[in-house]
Amino acid sequence: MNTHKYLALLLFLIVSCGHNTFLTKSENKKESLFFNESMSRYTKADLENLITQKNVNVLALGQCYLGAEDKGLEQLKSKLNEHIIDEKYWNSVGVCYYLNKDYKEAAFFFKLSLQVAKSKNKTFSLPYNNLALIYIHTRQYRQALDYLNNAIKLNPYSDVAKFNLSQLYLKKYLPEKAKLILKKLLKKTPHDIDLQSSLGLVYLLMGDAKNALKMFAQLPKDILKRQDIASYNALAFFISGQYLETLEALKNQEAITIRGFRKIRKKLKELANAKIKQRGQS
Amino acid sequence: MIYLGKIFISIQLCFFISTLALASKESPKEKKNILKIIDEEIKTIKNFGKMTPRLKHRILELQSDKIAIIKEQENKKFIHGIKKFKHPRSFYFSNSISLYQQLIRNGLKIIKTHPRYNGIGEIYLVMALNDQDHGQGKKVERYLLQALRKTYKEQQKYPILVHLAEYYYNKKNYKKAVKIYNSILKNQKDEWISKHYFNAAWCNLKEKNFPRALDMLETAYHLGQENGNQSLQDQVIESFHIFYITTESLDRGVIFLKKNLAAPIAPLFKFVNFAALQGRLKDSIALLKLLKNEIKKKKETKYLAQYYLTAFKTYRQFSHYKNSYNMAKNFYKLDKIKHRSISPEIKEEFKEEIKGLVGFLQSTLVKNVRKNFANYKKEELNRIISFFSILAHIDEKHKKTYYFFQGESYYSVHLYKKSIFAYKKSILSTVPLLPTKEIEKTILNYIGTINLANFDEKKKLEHIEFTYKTYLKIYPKDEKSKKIYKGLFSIFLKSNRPVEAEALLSKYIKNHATDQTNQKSYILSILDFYIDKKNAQKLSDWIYKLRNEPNFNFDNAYILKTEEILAQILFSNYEKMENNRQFKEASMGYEKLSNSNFPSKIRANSALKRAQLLSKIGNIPESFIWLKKAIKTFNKDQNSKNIENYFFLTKRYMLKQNFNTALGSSLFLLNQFYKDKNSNNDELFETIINLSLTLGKDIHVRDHFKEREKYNISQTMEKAMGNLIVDHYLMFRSYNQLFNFYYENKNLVYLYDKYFNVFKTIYWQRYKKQKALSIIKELSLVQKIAKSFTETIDSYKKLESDKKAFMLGQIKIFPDPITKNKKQKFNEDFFNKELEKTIQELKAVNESYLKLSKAGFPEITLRCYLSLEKMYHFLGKSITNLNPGDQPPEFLVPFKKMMKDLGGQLISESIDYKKSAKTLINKYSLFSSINGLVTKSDSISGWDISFPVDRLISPSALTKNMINHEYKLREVK
Repeated sequence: MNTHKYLALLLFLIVSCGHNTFLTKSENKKESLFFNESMSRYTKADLENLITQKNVNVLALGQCYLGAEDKGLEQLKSKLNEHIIDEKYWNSVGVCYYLNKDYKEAAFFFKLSLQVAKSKNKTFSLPYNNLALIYIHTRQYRQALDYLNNAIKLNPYSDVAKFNLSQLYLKKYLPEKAKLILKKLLKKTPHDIDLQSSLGLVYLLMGDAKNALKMFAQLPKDILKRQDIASYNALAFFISGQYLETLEALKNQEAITIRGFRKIRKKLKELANAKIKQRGQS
Repeated sequence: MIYLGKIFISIQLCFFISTLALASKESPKEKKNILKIIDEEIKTIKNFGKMTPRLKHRILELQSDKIAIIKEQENKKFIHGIKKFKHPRSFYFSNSISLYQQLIRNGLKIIKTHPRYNGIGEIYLVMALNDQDHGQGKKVERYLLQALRKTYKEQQKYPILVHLAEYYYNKKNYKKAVKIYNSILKNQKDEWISKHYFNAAWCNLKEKNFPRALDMLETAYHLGQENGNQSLQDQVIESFHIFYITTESLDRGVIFLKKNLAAPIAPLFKFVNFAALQGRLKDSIALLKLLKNEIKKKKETKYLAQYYLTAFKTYRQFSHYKNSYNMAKNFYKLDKIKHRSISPEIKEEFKEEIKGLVGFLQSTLVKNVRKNFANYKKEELNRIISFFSILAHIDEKHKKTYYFFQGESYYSVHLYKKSIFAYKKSILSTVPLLPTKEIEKTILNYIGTINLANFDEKKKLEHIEFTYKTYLKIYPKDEKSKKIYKGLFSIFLKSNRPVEAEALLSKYIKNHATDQTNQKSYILSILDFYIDKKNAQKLSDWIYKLRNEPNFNFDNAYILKTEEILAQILFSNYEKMENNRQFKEASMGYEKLSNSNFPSKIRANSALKRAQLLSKIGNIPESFIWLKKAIKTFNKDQNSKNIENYFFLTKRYMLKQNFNTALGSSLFLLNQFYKDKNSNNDELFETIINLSLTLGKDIHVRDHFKEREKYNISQTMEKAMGNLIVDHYLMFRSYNQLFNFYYENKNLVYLYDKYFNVFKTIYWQRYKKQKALSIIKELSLVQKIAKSFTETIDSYKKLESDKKAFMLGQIKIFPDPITKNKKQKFNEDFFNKELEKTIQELKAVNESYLKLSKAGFPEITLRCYLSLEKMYHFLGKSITNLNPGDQPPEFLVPFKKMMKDLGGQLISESIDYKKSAKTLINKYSLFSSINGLVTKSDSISGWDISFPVDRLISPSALTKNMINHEYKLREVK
């Protein structure tokens, strides 16, 4: 698939659905750590291919990830009888509500999923991760941390929960903790874009602009245009005194949908231009 | 006159004779006239005066004629009267007898009175004939012999001889007859000569003068052909077979027949019959052969039927049954081809012959088999069966009888299956089926044989059914039929044929209208059948009938019970539809049931079923409407029993993601049934709280929670829901609701810890801090940790205030603050005191912070570290930068160095505190809002970059690996 096309589509989704998702869709599945665990990385084609799946969880989730949450939920409803005591099913229902930003309903079904698993004397890690995301959404990070830790404890193989935990650490400025996780994950898939860019951010927070730039430099050019990565890349350039590169990075940045990045962009531009001007004078 | 009188009498006599000749053909009235004429003539003769022998003779003749006429009349009366009355014969013939006796007396009187009268011979003849015809016949021979004696003319003797010969012939006195015929036959001019030869032939035959007999017979035949002679050809031909066979002159006879008879075939039949009768097998067979050839030769096919009949009889005579059978078969074939050309008489005779033979064969067979079964020969049976088949074909009218006999024949040799088929054929051939002894016997024999026939069950039932049906067609009303109805009814139901069973029931009701006991029994069986088959439509029809047809007179309780069963069946039918995904049909069915006239329980159940189905197919609001309808229709007890179903339905609404209806339903159920022992109020309460929270009905959540006492909610559930509500409000940042909830539920001790943690969390966030703190302060009155926290916060605040004051104050280098702006001289002592004082203050604040940091609240510890870091940094920098003004270099240089060292030490302390803060954050994964101040590098400290990439959600089913991981872990745990 043509990357430009894909990005255009992604942009459309972001604008139209208001999804604050920067997650990179993976065309090369081998380079995506989370392909096996989450559909967040799936391309449209990947999702459309799921329509042929017999497993209603996969099929309906495909629909929900394509933005047709109502359709996905209807498909799930239609299979209620077969799945009424299936914890995976209820998790899927919750995911669709989550994607539709109906967080209360999502939380309800994630908890239901946990209850069902418990009634069967089983453990099920996925709803913990997903409930954590709702807590992150409502900025109750402490609770989110507990849920993610629980998810990882129940399923140490879950890279998604680990990655989410790294993001939570980054959000709450615990770069060292995030670094530990990301480095481990990167060993599995060294070219995963989100892992690389996240590690770049870790270095940036730690004031290690050199390593930050090194990480960003490994990313594909198209990815460097992403509003978050372009901002961090530009900041890394700025801190290391590379003001022209700072402006160049910002120049290629795609349309910004998050106010914080808009602020960074504005401030960086001003400061970089001032520095360049200053150098010119000196 | 006498002469004239004679002429007249002669004329009259002639007239009379001619009249008499016709008399036999006259009507009774004319005969009366003749008698009148006779009487008048007698009277006339008697009126002549003196009676001459001739006149007397004439009167005698007239009397003879009169007797003949009167006897004829008497005979008629006798024939007529004997049918009506029981008079003796003499009663009817008294007149003629009297006249006859008178005639004899008159004759004898004439003979006696006129012994020389030349007509005495004739008078004897008249007397002989009258004795023969009207008397006892004992004196005929005597009178005839007297007549011969008293007759002198040869010509007049001849008729007397004829009479005498015939008399002997009739009296079988052939020897005398032969003798007289020998005389008679000399008179070749007699027109009756052929007859006399024929009679003479018979006499000779009887006297065993065979050649003469044959000669005379053949002469009689030839003479009969001559003109002028009376012909007795038919009689002669009719007698050929007797003569030629008796005389064993078959060849001569055949030659004679062929030579003289244009149509010898008919007489030949008689030959055959007679030969057979005589037991002459060889001749019979030869004659049959000849006859057949003759028929063929002359192409006289019209004789074929007769031939077969004759041959049949002949062979039978000699017990050649096989040949008889062949003849019968040929006859049957011929009958098939030329049915119309065969005379009914022959057919009838043949039929009778076969019947006779087969009857004989059958009885022989039965007799033999009874004696010893080993005597049974298959071919004999087959022949009997075949004979009956032929009979059935040639006598279709009675074929039922022949088939019946076939059945009987088979039965006798234990071939029961074949017997049954024959009986069946017999019944099927009986048209129309009317009540007769014969058909009754056939059916009963048929029924009696079925069990012996060793049929498989299906076949057996087929035969029983056939017989029962037939029986009921003929005898639908008789007493025996009741049992037959029962049997047939049972067969219909066993073989799954309710329609026929119902038709039979109708027939029974029609024919046994008063027998309600059996009618009821049959109806019950039908209902049971339909119940068993779950045929709702039929059951419904029957219930309607039972309710609306008063004749059935069924107990209402039974009808209600049946209705209940019907409803159950309907349910089960609709359930089947549901299972087959015919939701629309099933739903309509339930709706129909619930709106029907069935008992309320059924209607309510139907409504409930519909509600369940609608929930299944996702029409939740409609489902709830039907649920309410069901609840309204059920009585209290039924509702109580069904509560679990209602709960299940409500849960389904919830699981079908229709939260509003699920909430409405839960509230409705709780309100309706909270007092019911079966109601799980806790569960409903939990659902209500959960759904209200999910729907964002925060105010309602609080209201519902308030009603926990009314609904008698358990302490455990109350605790769980209290915690849930608080967690939910926190999770979704519904802080106002949270505060309100707290205010409404301050007294819930079990929530104190939760309250403290939640409000502490809020306190460390940006908004609603003070309100959260005020609540914690409230809590501190009853909760240690809250008290500790409050005190820690207060101390911290005070310290912060002190720190602020400390930070605002500077180390006083110059003694007088008033002269601060003026040039003052540096006072080392004053400075030293001030510095020491500042250090002491710092130390005191440091200790206070360190003490607070150990209070067990990491957020405060972090803040203490940061405050210390700031203070030390601030003081360190201030001291490092101290400038005492114009001082000599020897003072200034060491002073600055000393200050720099001191400041450096303080800054180093500051850095250590920052490190401690960092360690604290990492150690406890502290998610404070001030983390960035500690952990961010200085180079980006001014940049807010907490916008990491989005998080990843975990779908439930992706790759097998992941699922396997999940399962593996589950197993381990």
